[in-house]
Amino acid sequence: METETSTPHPTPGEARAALADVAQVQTAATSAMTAPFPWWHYACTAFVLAVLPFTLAGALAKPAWVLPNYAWTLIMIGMLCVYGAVVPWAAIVWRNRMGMAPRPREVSLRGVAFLAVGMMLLLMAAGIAFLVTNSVYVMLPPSITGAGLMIGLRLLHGHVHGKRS
Amino acid sequence: MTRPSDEAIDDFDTTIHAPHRLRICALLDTASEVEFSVVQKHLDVSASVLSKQVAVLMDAGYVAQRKAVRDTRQRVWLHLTDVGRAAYQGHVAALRAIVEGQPFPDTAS
Repeated sequence: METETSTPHPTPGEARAALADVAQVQTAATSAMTAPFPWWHYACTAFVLAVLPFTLAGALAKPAWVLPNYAWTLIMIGMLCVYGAVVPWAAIVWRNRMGMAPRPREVSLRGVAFLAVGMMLLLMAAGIAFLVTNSVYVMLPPSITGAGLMIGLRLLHGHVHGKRS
Repeated sequence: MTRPSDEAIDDFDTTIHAPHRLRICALLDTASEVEFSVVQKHLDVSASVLSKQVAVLMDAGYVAQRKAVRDTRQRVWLHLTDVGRAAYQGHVAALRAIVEGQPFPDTAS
C-alpha cells in the first residue's frame, strides 16, 4: 500500500449522499425564490397596461381629446417613469420579505424580454389602430388584454409557487 | 499523467466538505446573498451552530457578511465570495468525479 499525504476522500457512496444533500438544499432554495412579487407590483403593471393605450391615443389625437396632445405625452412619460421606480422597489420589498437576493442568472430574462417586447407591440398596435380608425374605443381591447394578462400571470405565478411549496 | 478527473478530485475541499458547511455553501450558491435567519431556517440548525460554521467559512475567505438594519433590527446577509464560489463548485465537481468511480491516486499504475 502506497503512502499518501493527500486528504482522505469520501467513498463514492458518501459523495453521492453529499451531492443528494446539496441538490435537496438547492431545490428548496430555488423553490423559495419562485415566490411572486408583492401584489401591488402586479396591480401597478396592470394599471399601466390598461391606461397606456389611452394616453397614446390622447398623444396622437387630432383634434386634441380632453387634454392637449403634449399633456397626454407628459402623462404617458410620467407614468412610465413612476412604473420604472415601482419595479426595483418591488424587488427590494421582495428581497427583504424573502431574505434572499437572486443571482442575476436566476432572473428570467426571457420573462422580462417577453413583458417589455409585449408592451411595446401592444402600444404600437394600439397606436396604429387608433390612427386608422380615429376612435378611442379601439384602445379597449389592448387595454383589457394587457391588464387581464398581468392579473392572470399573477394568479398563475401564485398557483405554481403554492404547488411547489 | 493526470486526467481531468484526477484534477477534479484535487479540488476536493475539506473546509467545505463538513456537512453543515457544504449545505451552507449550496444554499448561498443559489442566491447572490441570503439573510442569516433564512439560512438557519432552510438548514434547520440553531443560530450558534450556524454562526460557528459561517465563522470557519469566513476565516477561509469563502463567505462574507453584510450587516443592515431593517425594522430597527440588525440583519446579517451572507454571500459566497468569488473564491468561495469557485472552491464550492470545484468541490462539487470533485464529489461528482468520486461518484463516477474514478480511481484514487493509489490505484493508478
